[in-house]
Amino acid sequence: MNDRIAILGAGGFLGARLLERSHLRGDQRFVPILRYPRGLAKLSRLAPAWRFGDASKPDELANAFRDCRVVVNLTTGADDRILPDTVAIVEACLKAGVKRLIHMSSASVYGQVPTPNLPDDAPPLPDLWMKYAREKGRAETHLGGLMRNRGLEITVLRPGMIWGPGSIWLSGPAEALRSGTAFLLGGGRGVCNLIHVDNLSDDILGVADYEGDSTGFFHSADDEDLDWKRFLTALAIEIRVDPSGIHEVEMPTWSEGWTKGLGFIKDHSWAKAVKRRMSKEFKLRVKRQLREMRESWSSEQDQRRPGPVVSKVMWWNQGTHHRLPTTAFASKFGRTGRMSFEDGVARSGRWLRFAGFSVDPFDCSELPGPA
Amino acid sequence: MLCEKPLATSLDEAKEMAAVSEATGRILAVGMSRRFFPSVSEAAALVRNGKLGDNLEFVCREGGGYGWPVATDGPFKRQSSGGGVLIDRGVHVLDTLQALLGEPTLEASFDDSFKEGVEANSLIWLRCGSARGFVQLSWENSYCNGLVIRGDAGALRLDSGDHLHYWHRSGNGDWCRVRARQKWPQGVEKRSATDLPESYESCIYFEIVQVLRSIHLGESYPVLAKDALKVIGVIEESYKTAKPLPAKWLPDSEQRIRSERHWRNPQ
Repeated sequence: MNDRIAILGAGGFLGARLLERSHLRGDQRFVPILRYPRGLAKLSRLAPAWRFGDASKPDELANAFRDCRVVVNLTTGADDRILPDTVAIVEACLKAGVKRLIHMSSASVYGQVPTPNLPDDAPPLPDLWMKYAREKGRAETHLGGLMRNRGLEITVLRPGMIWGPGSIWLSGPAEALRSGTAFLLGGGRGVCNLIHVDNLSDDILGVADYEGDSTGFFHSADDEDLDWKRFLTALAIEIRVDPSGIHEVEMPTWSEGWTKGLGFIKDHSWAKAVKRRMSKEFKLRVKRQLREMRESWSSEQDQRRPGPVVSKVMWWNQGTHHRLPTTAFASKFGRTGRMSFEDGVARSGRWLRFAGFSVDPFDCSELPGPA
Repeated sequence: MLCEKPLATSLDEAKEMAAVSEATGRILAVGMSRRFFPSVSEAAALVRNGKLGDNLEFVCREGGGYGWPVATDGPFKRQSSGGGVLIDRGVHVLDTLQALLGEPTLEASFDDSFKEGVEANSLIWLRCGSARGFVQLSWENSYCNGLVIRGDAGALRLDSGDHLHYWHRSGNGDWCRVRARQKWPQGVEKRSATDLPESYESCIYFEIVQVLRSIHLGESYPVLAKDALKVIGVIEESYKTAKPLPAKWLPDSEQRIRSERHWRNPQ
């Protein structure tokens, strides 16, 4: 047994950054485990020595975990696979003699965090509308039941929204800001539970290198108390959008649009039978004509001054009541050199401008030019 | 023969293939499917007819995950693929720019590959015809994707993934979203019916039909081997002259190491 650390889901945003940082620091312990070769695309400049492993196949995974002391589970597959893959990963860890499993859960298991100072071992909320959150919660419950077993230390981390250069929690809001569809719910006072990707990478390394027993559940978040207004305003300034143009929305309860309300029709057996008999081209034609009909209803005025686009996920996240305390993590594993919100925003702004999210698409202020 | 893109991973090989096609009188078509997007076809006409005016400049960004269900890691090894995101996505982007603006000429190239790997991010500065601009490509991250071309009389925008619409504006007026109506022949008969592509797959279908029509009916095909040489030449030159792509959002120490380990760094 050596000091190798297997990263399951290394082709994702967090996995790729974790590997890049380690590579640049000369830390050669990491072994990316990938379900498909295409996961190498994000890592292609590093050309890492990777291993094949499907998170649903314990025997295959156990082989991929050989020689590894620690396994970090960063898989982001379909919601239906969260629990069965977690079960398979634990089985593979036990078969391969892995000492420690670091499992990435999500702060979403607490929904809108209705209680302040929620302890790290509080159980996930039941009956959440978001399937992802429910399945993450079920996986946590399964892992909690195994924590008493000797042989494998299981550490569950619950990050909030993982942000930083390349994150969808940057590019999504930035795109909404530049297209004029961004909104703030209830004045933007909702808690924005963020964790910078580099801070989370440090937390993962902190657990991996911990010399005692790391078993337990831990919230993982940035140090600042932050609300959505401060977050979106900071991003707007970085991409040269006037923050006063962000729409204010009051929507105490979620209401589906009328097209969603008609969704039940799709589930009828007769509707399914009709759909099965349609050719792909015909279905595409119908979809296109419906789309064009919808587009013709939206006036040019809408295009010039678009209204807020309120997705259920964003509405839900902006309604978060409390931040998750991270004192338990800090007192057990210690924390140093955290990326502050101000520094993170400045660096994220450089990336957003690099990636073309400025109002002016020709803004090349972050790009090297011809000699 | 219809050859998938890129025609070759080196200019010498591509020239050889074009020469064989010429000598044998056989058609060697290149699968540049975007030429069959109605939006690209009509945007090209807009530029050609001078609707954007003079002093053209452009910016094109294409970033996002690698979606092809490849069976091996061959696409991520320089020996087998010739490079990374530039040869993979760049060949489509450069061909589209050639169709819209004219032949590309390289001005500068930057990428992020280390010695052992291939680039996941690429930036190249180009002249295409009389227009000047830059292209950013990524396998790593989503960018604010799309192609924007502007001149002193107007601008147009092509959003990535939308092959049926383009955006146009005159002067500094409002942007208008335009539904492209370019149709393509459905069969290989002399007076074939035409149809509007409904999907990406149907653009591929029309591409194949057009290859067959060029064989059977002697019609033209938009990208033959000789037309692809300039783009392959630009990609090859980009790799030869690549400099480290700065990542100013990273800590200074990481930026320095990235630069030191760049694959074109002699040390």
